[in-house]
Amino acid sequence: MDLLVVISGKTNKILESNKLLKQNLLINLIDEKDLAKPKMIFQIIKLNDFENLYFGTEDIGFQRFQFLIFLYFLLTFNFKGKLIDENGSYREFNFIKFVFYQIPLFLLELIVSSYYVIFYSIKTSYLLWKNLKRN
Amino acid sequence: MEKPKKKLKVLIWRAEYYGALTAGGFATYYMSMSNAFLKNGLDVIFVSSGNMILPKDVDFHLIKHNKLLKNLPEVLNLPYNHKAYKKVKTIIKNEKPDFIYLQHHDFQYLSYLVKSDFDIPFFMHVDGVQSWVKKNWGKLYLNKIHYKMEKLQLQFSDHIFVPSLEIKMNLIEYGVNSNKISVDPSSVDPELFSPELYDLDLKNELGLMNHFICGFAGTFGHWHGVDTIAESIKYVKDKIPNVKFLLVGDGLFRAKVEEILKRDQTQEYCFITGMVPLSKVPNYLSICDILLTPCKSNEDNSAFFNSPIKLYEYMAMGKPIVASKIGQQAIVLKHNFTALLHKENDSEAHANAIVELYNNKDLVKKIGENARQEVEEKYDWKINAKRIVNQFYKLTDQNDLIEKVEEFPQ
Repeated sequence: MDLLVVISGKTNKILESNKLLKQNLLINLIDEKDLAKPKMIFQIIKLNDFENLYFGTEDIGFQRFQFLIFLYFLLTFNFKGKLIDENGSYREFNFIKFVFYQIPLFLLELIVSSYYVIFYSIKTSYLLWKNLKRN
Repeated sequence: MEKPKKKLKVLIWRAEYYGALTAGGFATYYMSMSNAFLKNGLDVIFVSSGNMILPKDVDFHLIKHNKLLKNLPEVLNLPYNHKAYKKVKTIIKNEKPDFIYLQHHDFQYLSYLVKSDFDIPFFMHVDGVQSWVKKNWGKLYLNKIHYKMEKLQLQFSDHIFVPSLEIKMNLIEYGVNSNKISVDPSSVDPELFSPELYDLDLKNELGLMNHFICGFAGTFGHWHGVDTIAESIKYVKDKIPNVKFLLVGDGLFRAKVEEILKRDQTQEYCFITGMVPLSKVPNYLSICDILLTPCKSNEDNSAFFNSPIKLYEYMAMGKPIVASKIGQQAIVLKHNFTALLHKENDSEAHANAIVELYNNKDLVKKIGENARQEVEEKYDWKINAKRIVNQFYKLTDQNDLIEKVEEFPQ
Protein backbone atom coordinates (compact mmCIF):
# COMPACT_ATOMS: atom_id res chain seq x y z
CA MET A 1 0.00 0.00 0.00
CA ASP A 2 1.03 3.61 -0.69
CA LEU A 3 -0.11 6.72 1.16
CA LEU A 4 -1.58 9.69 -0.70
CA VAL A 5 -2.07 12.93 1.22
CA VAL A 6 -4.36 15.14 -0.85
CA ILE A 7 -3.76 18.87 -0.27
CA SER A 8 -6.07 20.18 -2.99
CA GLY A 9 -7.75 19.12 -6.21
CA LYS A 10 -9.88 16.16 -7.15
CA THR A 11 -8.55 12.87 -5.80
CA ASN A 12 -9.85 10.83 -8.75
CA LYS A 13 -8.24 13.15 -11.27
CA ILE A 14 -4.91 13.00 -9.41
CA LEU A 15 -5.05 9.20 -9.37
CA GLU A 16 -6.03 8.99 -13.03
CA SER A 17 -3.34 11.38 -14.28
CA ASN A 18 -0.63 9.61 -12.31
CA LYS A 19 -1.83 6.09 -13.11
CA LEU A 20 -2.39 5.21 -9.46
CA LEU A 21 -4.98 2.66 -8.38
CA LYS A 22 -7.36 3.56 -5.57
CA GLN A 23 -7.29 0.05 -4.13
CA ASN A 24 -3.52 0.30 -3.61
CA LEU A 25 -3.72 3.55 -1.69
CA LEU A 26 -4.49 4.90 1.73
CA ILE A 27 -5.91 8.37 1.12
CA ASN A 28 -5.91 11.29 3.56
CA LEU A 29 -7.44 14.69 2.78
CA ILE A 30 -5.91 17.75 4.41
CA ASP A 31 -6.15 21.52 4.05
CA GLU A 32 -3.15 23.34 2.55
CA LYS A 33 -2.62 25.18 5.85
CA ASP A 34 -2.23 21.83 7.62
CA LEU A 35 1.15 21.47 5.93
CA ALA A 36 2.42 24.00 8.45
CA LYS A 37 1.32 21.69 11.30
CA PRO A 38 4.17 19.15 11.55
CA LYS A 39 2.53 17.32 14.45
CA MET A 40 -0.54 16.57 12.36
CA ILE A 41 1.42 15.54 9.26
CA PHE A 42 3.74 13.26 11.26
CA GLN A 43 0.69 11.70 12.88
CA ILE A 44 -0.85 10.93 9.47
CA ILE A 45 2.43 9.48 8.27
CA LYS A 46 3.11 7.46 11.43
CA LEU A 47 -0.44 6.09 11.73
CA ASN A 48 -0.30 4.50 8.32
CA ASP A 49 1.76 1.57 7.19
CA PHE A 50 2.81 2.20 3.59
CA GLU A 51 5.59 1.86 1.04
CA ASN A 52 5.53 5.14 -0.87
CA LEU A 53 4.34 8.55 0.19
CA TYR A 54 2.67 10.97 -2.23
CA PHE A 55 1.35 14.47 -1.70
CA GLY A 56 -1.38 15.30 -4.23
CA THR A 57 -2.31 18.78 -5.40
CA GLU A 58 -4.34 20.51 -8.08
CA ASP A 59 -1.37 22.09 -9.85
CA ILE A 60 2.28 21.87 -8.74
CA GLY A 61 2.98 25.29 -10.24
CA PHE A 62 0.62 26.92 -7.74
CA GLN A 63 1.47 24.76 -4.71
CA ARG A 64 2.81 26.65 -1.71
CA PHE A 65 4.90 25.14 1.14
CA GLN A 66 6.83 22.85 -1.21
CA PHE A 67 9.92 23.13 0.97
CA LEU A 68 7.91 21.74 3.90
CA ILE A 69 6.58 18.88 1.79
CA PHE A 70 10.11 17.84 0.84
CA LEU A 71 11.25 18.31 4.41
CA TYR A 72 8.54 15.81 5.47
CA PHE A 73 9.90 13.32 2.94
CA LEU A 74 13.35 13.74 4.45
CA LEU A 75 12.35 13.60 8.12
CA THR A 76 10.21 10.50 7.64
CA PHE A 77 12.85 8.80 5.46
CA ASN A 78 10.50 8.60 2.46
CA PHE A 79 13.19 9.06 -0.12
CA LYS A 80 10.93 7.85 -2.92
CA GLY A 81 8.30 10.48 -2.11
CA LYS A 82 6.62 12.48 -4.83
CA LEU A 83 4.51 15.58 -5.11
CA ILE A 84 1.96 14.88 -7.85
CA ASP A 85 -0.85 16.86 -9.46
CA GLU A 86 -4.04 16.66 -11.51
CA ASN A 87 -2.16 17.21 -14.78
CA GLY A 88 0.16 14.24 -14.23
CA SER A 89 3.11 16.49 -13.37
CA TYR A 90 5.28 15.43 -10.46
CA ARG A 91 8.33 16.40 -8.43
CA GLU A 92 10.36 13.61 -6.90
CA PHE A 93 12.34 13.89 -3.69
CA ASN A 94 16.05 13.92 -4.35
CA PHE A 95 18.37 14.05 -1.37
CA ILE A 96 21.25 15.78 -3.18
CA LYS A 97 18.96 18.31 -4.79
CA PHE A 98 17.25 18.94 -1.46
CA VAL A 99 20.47 19.59 0.44
CA PHE A 100 22.33 21.55 -2.21
CA TYR A 101 19.49 23.38 -3.94
CA GLN A 102 16.24 23.48 -1.96
CA ILE A 103 17.76 24.28 1.45
CA PRO A 104 19.92 27.17 0.14
CA LEU A 105 16.94 28.43 -1.83
CA PHE A 106 14.81 28.39 1.32
CA LEU A 107 17.51 30.31 3.19
CA LEU A 108 17.50 32.87 0.42
CA GLU A 109 13.72 33.05 0.74
CA LEU A 110 14.10 33.80 4.45
CA ILE A 111 16.61 36.58 3.76
CA VAL A 112 14.49 38.16 1.02
CA SER A 113 11.40 37.87 3.22
CA SER A 114 13.11 39.66 6.12
CA TYR A 115 13.96 42.50 3.77
CA TYR A 116 10.35 42.77 2.56
CA VAL A 117 8.97 42.70 6.10
CA ILE A 118 11.24 45.56 7.17
CA PHE A 119 10.67 47.52 3.96
CA TYR A 120 6.86 47.29 4.03
CA SER A 121 6.67 47.88 7.74
CA ILE A 122 8.49 51.21 7.35
CA LYS A 123 6.77 52.12 4.10
CA THR A 124 3.19 51.58 5.31
CA SER A 125 3.88 53.43 8.59
CA TYR A 126 5.26 56.35 6.62
CA LEU A 127 2.31 56.39 4.20
CA LEU A 128 -0.23 56.35 7.02
CA TRP A 129 1.63 59.12 8.84
CA LYS A 130 1.89 61.19 5.64
CA ASN A 131 -1.78 60.77 4.97
CA LEU A 132 -2.74 61.65 8.55
CA LYS A 133 -0.63 64.79 8.33
CA ARG A 134 -2.26 65.77 5.05
CA ASN A 135 -5.76 65.40 6.54
CA MET B 1 -33.15 64.31 -26.56
CA GLU B 2 -31.43 61.67 -24.42
CA LYS B 3 -27.68 62.09 -24.10
CA PRO B 4 -25.85 59.15 -25.79
CA LYS B 5 -23.96 56.99 -23.34
CA LYS B 6 -20.28 56.36 -23.85
CA LYS B 7 -19.37 52.65 -23.78
CA LEU B 8 -17.69 52.10 -20.42
CA LYS B 9 -14.73 49.88 -19.67
CA VAL B 10 -14.19 48.23 -16.29
CA LEU B 11 -10.98 46.72 -15.01
CA ILE B 12 -11.81 43.91 -12.58
CA TRP B 13 -8.84 43.02 -10.41
CA ARG B 14 -8.26 39.84 -8.43
CA ALA B 15 -4.99 40.10 -6.53
CA GLU B 16 -5.11 37.51 -3.76
CA TYR B 17 -3.27 34.20 -3.95
CA TYR B 18 -5.74 31.41 -4.64
CA GLY B 19 -3.54 28.75 -6.14
CA ALA B 20 -5.07 26.72 -8.94
CA LEU B 21 -8.62 26.97 -7.60
CA THR B 22 -11.15 27.75 -10.33
CA ALA B 23 -14.32 26.74 -8.46
CA GLY B 24 -16.11 27.90 -5.32
CA GLY B 25 -17.82 31.08 -4.14
CA PHE B 26 -15.24 33.58 -5.39
CA ALA B 27 -15.02 31.92 -8.80
CA THR B 28 -18.82 32.17 -9.08
CA TYR B 29 -18.71 35.78 -8.03
CA TYR B 30 -16.11 36.87 -10.60
CA MET B 31 -17.70 34.88 -13.41
CA SER B 32 -21.11 36.34 -12.60
CA MET B 33 -19.91 39.93 -12.24
CA SER B 34 -17.90 39.78 -15.48
CA ASN B 35 -20.97 38.46 -17.25
CA ALA B 36 -23.18 41.10 -15.65
CA PHE B 37 -20.92 43.96 -16.77
CA LEU B 38 -20.86 42.52 -20.30
CA LYS B 39 -24.65 42.22 -20.32
CA ASN B 40 -24.84 45.88 -19.27
CA GLY B 41 -22.82 46.76 -22.37
CA LEU B 42 -19.43 47.38 -20.72
CA ASP B 43 -16.06 46.15 -21.95
CA VAL B 44 -14.35 44.02 -19.33
CA ILE B 45 -10.63 43.73 -18.61
CA PHE B 46 -9.81 41.12 -15.97
CA VAL B 47 -6.47 41.08 -14.18
CA SER B 48 -5.79 38.11 -11.93
CA SER B 49 -3.04 36.33 -10.04
CA GLY B 50 -4.20 32.91 -11.22
CA ASN B 51 -6.23 31.10 -13.83
CA MET B 52 -9.90 31.95 -14.11
CA ILE B 53 -12.93 30.62 -15.91
CA LEU B 54 -14.45 33.73 -17.49
CA PRO B 55 -16.78 34.66 -20.36
CA LYS B 56 -14.93 34.61 -23.70
CA ASP B 57 -15.37 38.35 -24.35
CA VAL B 58 -13.28 39.27 -21.32
CA ASP B 59 -9.78 40.62 -21.95
CA PHE B 60 -7.77 38.53 -19.47
CA HIS B 61 -4.33 39.38 -18.03
CA LEU B 62 -2.44 37.01 -15.75
CA ILE B 63 0.06 38.40 -13.24
CA LYS B 64 1.50 35.58 -11.14
CA HIS B 65 2.94 35.81 -7.63
CA ASN B 66 6.66 35.49 -7.03
CA LYS B 67 7.86 31.88 -7.22
CA LEU B 68 10.53 32.32 -4.56
CA LEU B 69 8.26 33.24 -1.65
CA LYS B 70 5.78 30.39 -1.69
CA ASN B 71 6.84 28.93 1.66
CA LEU B 72 5.99 32.11 3.57
CA PRO B 73 2.50 32.98 2.34
CA GLU B 74 2.06 36.27 4.24
CA VAL B 75 5.29 37.68 2.82
CA LEU B 76 4.33 36.42 -0.65
CA ASN B 77 1.58 39.05 -0.75
CA LEU B 78 3.77 42.03 0.14
CA PRO B 79 5.86 42.49 -3.03
CA TYR B 80 2.90 41.40 -5.15
CA ASN B 81 1.40 44.86 -4.59
CA HIS B 82 4.18 46.49 -6.59
CA LYS B 83 4.68 43.65 -9.04
CA ALA B 84 0.99 43.62 -9.98
CA TYR B 85 0.63 47.39 -9.96
CA LYS B 86 3.59 47.85 -12.31
CA LYS B 87 1.80 45.75 -14.93
CA VAL B 88 -1.64 47.17 -14.19
CA LYS B 89 -0.20 50.66 -14.65
CA THR B 90 0.67 49.75 -18.24
CA ILE B 91 -2.79 48.23 -18.77
CA ILE B 92 -4.42 51.41 -17.45
CA LYS B 93 -2.30 53.56 -19.76
CA ASN B 94 -3.01 51.41 -22.81
CA GLU B 95 -6.60 50.35 -22.24
CA LYS B 96 -7.88 53.43 -20.38
CA PRO B 97 -10.55 51.75 -18.25
CA ASP B 98 -13.20 54.07 -16.79
CA PHE B 99 -13.06 52.52 -13.35
CA ILE B 100 -11.44 49.72 -11.36
CA TYR B 101 -13.27 47.10 -9.35
CA LEU B 102 -11.25 45.08 -6.85
CA GLN B 103 -12.15 42.38 -4.37
CA HIS B 104 -10.39 43.31 -1.13
CA HIS B 105 -8.04 40.76 0.45
CA ASP B 106 -5.10 40.42 2.83
CA PHE B 107 -1.97 42.55 2.57
CA GLN B 108 -3.14 44.80 -0.24
CA TYR B 109 -2.84 48.55 -0.63
CA LEU B 110 -3.47 48.65 -4.34
CA SER B 111 -6.02 51.48 -4.12
CA TYR B 112 -3.28 53.71 -2.67
CA LEU B 113 -0.87 52.79 -5.45
CA VAL B 114 -3.40 53.40 -8.23
CA LYS B 115 -4.74 56.64 -6.75
CA SER B 116 -1.20 58.01 -6.37
CA ASP B 117 -0.80 57.99 -10.16
CA PHE B 118 -4.26 58.05 -11.71
CA ASP B 119 -7.46 59.94 -11.17
CA ILE B 120 -9.57 56.90 -11.91
CA PRO B 121 -12.50 55.77 -9.73
CA PHE B 122 -11.41 52.86 -7.58
CA PHE B 123 -14.26 50.67 -6.29
CA MET B 124 -13.91 47.73 -3.98
CA HIS B 125 -15.98 44.77 -2.99
CA VAL B 126 -15.31 44.02 0.68
CA ASP B 127 -16.74 40.89 2.22
CA GLY B 128 -15.13 41.32 5.60
CA VAL B 129 -12.67 43.56 7.42
CA GLN B 130 -9.70 41.26 7.04
CA SER B 131 -7.98 42.48 10.22
CA TRP B 132 -11.10 41.54 12.16
CA VAL B 133 -11.48 38.21 10.36
CA LYS B 134 -7.86 37.24 10.98
CA LYS B 135 -7.90 38.41 14.59
CA ASN B 136 -11.02 36.43 15.41
CA TRP B 137 -10.74 33.37 13.23
CA GLY B 138 -7.35 33.17 11.71
CA LYS B 139 -3.71 33.43 12.54
CA LEU B 140 -1.50 36.23 11.37
CA TYR B 141 2.19 36.79 12.00
CA LEU B 142 2.52 40.16 10.29
CA ASN B 143 -0.42 41.79 12.07
CA LYS B 144 0.85 45.33 12.05
CA ILE B 145 1.73 45.44 8.36
CA HIS B 146 -1.60 43.84 7.53
CA TYR B 147 -3.49 46.41 9.58
CA LYS B 148 -1.68 49.36 8.03
CA MET B 149 -2.13 48.09 4.48
CA GLU B 150 -5.83 47.51 5.05
CA LYS B 151 -6.23 51.04 6.47
CA LEU B 152 -4.62 52.49 3.35
CA GLN B 153 -6.58 50.26 1.01
CA LEU B 154 -9.94 51.19 2.53
CA GLN B 155 -9.06 54.86 2.86
CA PHE B 156 -8.00 55.34 -0.76
CA SER B 157 -10.86 53.51 -2.42
CA ASP B 158 -13.60 55.79 -3.75
CA HIS B 159 -16.51 53.55 -2.91
CA ILE B 160 -16.95 50.22 -1.15
CA PHE B 161 -19.62 47.64 -1.91
CA VAL B 162 -20.38 45.15 0.82
CA PRO B 163 -22.64 42.10 0.58
CA SER B 164 -24.42 42.64 3.91
CA LEU B 165 -25.45 45.25 6.44
CA GLU B 166 -23.38 43.54 9.13
CA ILE B 167 -20.18 44.08 7.13
CA LYS B 168 -21.13 47.71 6.57
CA MET B 169 -21.43 48.17 10.36
CA ASN B 170 -18.11 46.43 10.84
CA LEU B 171 -16.42 48.79 8.36
CA ILE B 172 -17.93 51.86 10.03
CA GLU B 173 -16.56 50.64 13.37
CA TYR B 174 -13.22 50.31 11.63
CA GLY B 175 -13.32 54.00 10.74
CA VAL B 176 -14.62 53.96 7.16
CA ASN B 177 -16.99 56.78 6.26
CA SER B 178 -20.51 55.33 5.99
CA ASN B 179 -21.28 57.50 2.93
CA LYS B 180 -18.87 55.56 0.84
CA ILE B 181 -20.29 52.13 1.68
CA SER B 182 -23.23 50.51 -0.12
CA VAL B 183 -24.83 47.18 0.62
CA ASP B 184 -24.87 45.14 -2.56
CA PRO B 185 -25.94 41.56 -1.73
CA SER B 186 -25.00 38.45 -3.64
CA SER B 187 -27.21 37.63 -6.60
CA VAL B 188 -27.68 35.09 -9.33
CA ASP B 189 -27.87 34.75 -13.10
CA PRO B 190 -31.57 33.89 -13.55
CA GLU B 191 -30.96 32.60 -17.06
CA LEU B 192 -28.50 29.97 -15.84
CA PHE B 193 -30.49 29.07 -12.75
CA SER B 194 -33.94 28.59 -14.16
CA PRO B 195 -37.09 26.64 -13.26
CA GLU B 196 -37.19 25.54 -16.91
CA LEU B 197 -34.12 23.36 -16.35
CA TYR B 198 -34.62 19.70 -15.40
CA ASP B 199 -31.73 17.30 -15.96
CA LEU B 200 -33.37 13.92 -16.10
CA ASP B 201 -30.20 12.25 -17.40
CA LEU B 202 -28.26 13.41 -14.35
CA LYS B 203 -31.01 12.15 -12.04
CA ASN B 204 -30.85 8.80 -13.78
CA GLU B 205 -27.05 8.75 -13.72
CA LEU B 206 -27.05 9.36 -9.95
CA GLY B 207 -29.59 6.58 -9.43
CA LEU B 208 -32.14 8.96 -7.92
CA MET B 209 -35.05 8.41 -10.30
CA ASN B 210 -37.69 7.40 -7.75
CA HIS B 211 -36.54 9.55 -4.90
CA PHE B 212 -37.83 12.67 -3.21
CA ILE B 213 -34.68 14.81 -3.23
CA CYS B 214 -33.72 17.38 -0.62
CA GLY B 215 -30.68 19.25 -1.94
CA PHE B 216 -27.86 21.44 -0.72
CA ALA B 217 -25.11 23.02 -2.81
CA GLY B 218 -22.16 24.78 -1.22
CA THR B 219 -19.04 24.53 0.81
CA PHE B 220 -19.04 22.16 3.77
CA GLY B 221 -18.00 24.86 6.21
CA HIS B 222 -19.24 25.84 9.63
CA TRP B 223 -21.68 28.61 8.77
CA HIS B 224 -23.30 26.71 5.89
CA GLY B 225 -24.97 24.41 8.44
CA VAL B 226 -24.42 21.23 6.46
CA ASP B 227 -24.16 19.34 9.77
CA THR B 228 -27.69 20.54 10.64
CA ILE B 229 -28.87 18.84 7.43
CA ALA B 230 -27.08 15.63 8.36
CA GLU B 231 -28.64 15.74 11.85
CA SER B 232 -32.11 16.25 10.39
CA ILE B 233 -32.12 13.11 8.24
CA LYS B 234 -33.05 10.82 11.15
CA TYR B 235 -36.26 12.84 11.71
CA VAL B 236 -37.22 12.83 8.02
CA LYS B 237 -36.42 9.30 6.84
CA ASP B 238 -39.52 7.63 8.25
CA LYS B 239 -41.90 10.42 7.26
CA ILE B 240 -41.01 10.71 3.57
CA PRO B 241 -40.78 7.48 1.59
CA ASN B 242 -37.74 7.27 -0.70
CA VAL B 243 -36.25 10.49 0.60
CA LYS B 244 -32.67 11.22 -0.42
CA PHE B 245 -30.48 14.11 0.67
CA LEU B 246 -28.25 15.27 -2.17
CA LEU B 247 -25.28 17.23 -0.83
CA VAL B 248 -23.40 18.93 -3.64
CA GLY B 249 -19.98 20.15 -2.57
CA ASP B 250 -17.11 19.36 -0.27
CA GLY B 251 -15.05 20.96 2.47
CA LEU B 252 -13.63 20.68 5.93
CA PHE B 253 -16.96 19.66 7.50
CA ARG B 254 -17.35 16.60 5.28
CA ALA B 255 -15.76 14.35 7.89
CA LYS B 256 -18.18 15.67 10.51
CA VAL B 257 -21.15 15.06 8.20
CA GLU B 258 -20.01 11.51 7.52
CA GLU B 259 -19.57 10.94 11.25
CA ILE B 260 -23.16 12.08 11.93
CA LEU B 261 -24.52 9.87 9.13
CA LYS B 262 -22.63 6.90 10.53
CA ARG B 263 -23.77 7.60 14.10
CA ASP B 264 -27.43 7.93 13.06
CA GLN B 265 -27.16 5.07 10.55
CA THR B 266 -28.55 7.32 7.84
CA GLN B 267 -25.81 6.91 5.21
CA GLU B 268 -28.23 5.26 2.77
CA TYR B 269 -30.40 8.39 2.78
CA CYS B 270 -27.61 10.71 1.77
CA PHE B 271 -25.54 11.18 -1.39
CA ILE B 272 -22.46 13.44 -1.29
CA THR B 273 -21.20 14.39 -4.74
CA GLY B 274 -17.93 16.11 -3.81
CA MET B 275 -16.94 19.22 -5.75
CA VAL B 276 -18.73 19.58 -9.07
CA PRO B 277 -17.90 22.01 -11.88
CA LEU B 278 -19.49 25.43 -11.48
CA SER B 279 -21.39 25.05 -14.73
CA LYS B 280 -23.06 21.87 -13.46
CA VAL B 281 -24.51 23.31 -10.24
CA PRO B 282 -27.82 24.39 -11.86
CA ASN B 283 -28.26 20.83 -13.20
CA TYR B 284 -27.85 19.35 -9.73
CA LEU B 285 -30.28 21.85 -8.24
CA SER B 286 -32.78 21.15 -11.01
CA ILE B 287 -33.32 17.54 -9.90
CA CYS B 288 -34.09 18.50 -6.29
CA ASP B 289 -37.60 18.78 -4.88
CA ILE B 290 -36.64 20.99 -1.93
CA LEU B 291 -33.52 23.10 -1.40
CA LEU B 292 -31.89 23.60 1.99
CA THR B 293 -29.87 26.43 3.52
CA PRO B 294 -29.72 26.04 7.31
CA CYS B 295 -26.91 28.59 7.77
CA LYS B 296 -25.84 29.29 11.33
CA SER B 297 -23.93 31.82 13.41
CA ASN B 298 -20.19 31.86 13.42
CA GLU B 299 -18.39 29.54 15.82
CA ASP B 300 -17.49 32.45 18.11
CA ASN B 301 -21.16 33.58 18.12
CA SER B 302 -20.35 36.77 16.24
CA ALA B 303 -23.07 38.06 13.91
CA PHE B 304 -23.74 36.12 10.74
CA PHE B 305 -22.52 38.55 8.11
CA ASN B 306 -22.52 36.46 4.97
CA SER B 307 -24.56 36.82 1.84
CA PRO B 308 -24.89 33.20 0.74
CA ILE B 309 -24.85 32.94 -3.06
CA LYS B 310 -26.64 29.62 -2.84
CA LEU B 311 -29.69 31.34 -1.36
CA TYR B 312 -30.20 33.35 -4.55
CA GLU B 313 -29.42 30.37 -6.76
CA TYR B 314 -32.09 28.38 -4.94
CA MET B 315 -34.62 31.20 -5.29
CA ALA B 316 -33.93 31.46 -9.01
CA MET B 317 -34.63 27.75 -9.50
CA GLY B 318 -38.20 28.33 -8.34
CA LYS B 319 -37.92 25.47 -5.85
CA PRO B 320 -39.27 25.55 -2.30
CA ILE B 321 -36.59 26.52 0.22
CA VAL B 322 -36.10 25.54 3.84
CA ALA B 323 -33.83 28.09 5.51
CA SER B 324 -32.71 29.19 8.93
CA LYS B 325 -33.89 32.62 10.04
CA ILE B 326 -30.55 34.30 10.28
CA GLY B 327 -28.68 37.33 8.89
CA GLN B 328 -29.44 38.16 5.28
CA GLN B 329 -31.63 35.07 4.89
CA ALA B 330 -34.01 36.59 7.42
CA ILE B 331 -34.10 39.88 5.47
CA VAL B 332 -34.51 38.41 1.99
CA LEU B 333 -36.83 35.47 2.70
CA LYS B 334 -40.34 35.73 4.12
CA HIS B 335 -41.80 32.81 6.02
CA ASN B 336 -44.60 31.06 4.12
CA PHE B 337 -44.14 33.45 1.20
CA THR B 338 -40.72 32.70 -0.33
CA ALA B 339 -39.49 29.95 2.02
CA LEU B 340 -40.11 28.08 5.23
CA LEU B 341 -37.93 29.56 7.93
CA HIS B 342 -36.86 27.96 11.18
CA LYS B 343 -34.62 28.72 14.14
CA GLU B 344 -30.93 28.32 13.39
CA ASN B 345 -29.08 25.21 14.51
CA ASP B 346 -32.34 23.32 15.02
CA SER B 347 -32.24 20.09 13.03
CA GLU B 348 -35.67 18.95 14.22
CA ALA B 349 -37.33 22.19 13.07
CA HIS B 350 -35.41 21.86 9.80
CA ALA B 351 -36.79 18.34 9.35
CA ASN B 352 -40.34 19.43 10.22
CA ALA B 353 -40.23 22.14 7.55
CA ILE B 354 -39.11 19.58 4.95
CA VAL B 355 -41.97 17.26 5.91
CA GLU B 356 -44.44 20.15 5.83
CA LEU B 357 -43.43 20.99 2.27
CA TYR B 358 -43.60 17.34 1.24
CA ASN B 359 -47.22 17.26 2.41
CA ASN B 360 -48.33 20.60 0.97
CA LYS B 361 -47.99 20.82 -2.81
CA ASP B 362 -49.84 24.16 -3.00
CA LEU B 363 -47.36 25.77 -0.63
CA VAL B 364 -44.48 24.33 -2.65
CA LYS B 365 -45.81 25.92 -5.84
CA LYS B 366 -46.57 29.26 -4.17
CA ILE B 367 -43.25 29.83 -2.43
CA GLY B 368 -41.26 28.59 -5.42
CA GLU B 369 -42.96 31.02 -7.78
CA ASN B 370 -42.70 33.94 -5.35
CA ALA B 371 -38.97 33.34 -4.81
CA ARG B 372 -38.31 33.25 -8.54
CA GLN B 373 -40.21 36.51 -9.05
CA GLU B 374 -38.20 38.23 -6.29
CA VAL B 375 -34.96 37.15 -7.95
CA GLU B 376 -35.99 38.49 -11.33
CA GLU B 377 -36.89 41.84 -9.80
CA LYS B 378 -34.10 42.29 -7.25
CA TYR B 379 -31.34 39.71 -7.22
CA ASP B 380 -29.93 39.47 -10.71
CA TRP B 381 -26.14 40.10 -11.01
CA LYS B 382 -27.01 42.58 -13.76
CA ILE B 383 -28.60 44.77 -11.07
CA ASN B 384 -25.40 44.59 -8.98
CA ALA B 385 -23.38 45.69 -12.00
CA LYS B 386 -25.83 48.53 -12.61
CA ARG B 387 -25.43 49.75 -9.02
CA ILE B 388 -21.66 49.92 -9.56
CA VAL B 389 -22.04 51.75 -12.88
CA ASN B 390 -24.47 54.18 -11.22
CA GLN B 391 -21.85 54.85 -8.56
CA PHE B 392 -19.38 55.64 -11.34
CA TYR B 393 -21.81 58.16 -12.85
CA LYS B 394 -22.47 59.66 -9.43
CA LEU B 395 -18.77 60.04 -8.70
CA THR B 396 -18.04 61.59 -12.07
CA ASP B 397 -21.00 64.02 -11.86
CA GLN B 398 -23.01 62.39 -14.60
CA ASN B 399 -26.14 62.03 -12.51
CA ASP B 400 -28.39 62.24 -15.57
CA LEU B 401 -27.07 58.85 -16.72
CA ILE B 402 -28.00 57.03 -13.52
CA GLU B 403 -30.51 54.24 -14.13
CA LYS B 404 -33.01 53.51 -11.42
CA VAL B 405 -32.47 50.10 -9.79
CA GLU B 406 -33.90 48.32 -6.78
CA GLU B 407 -31.86 49.22 -3.69
CA PHE B 408 -31.18 46.75 -0.88
CA PRO B 409 -31.94 47.96 2.69
CA GLN B 410 -28.96 50.11 3.71
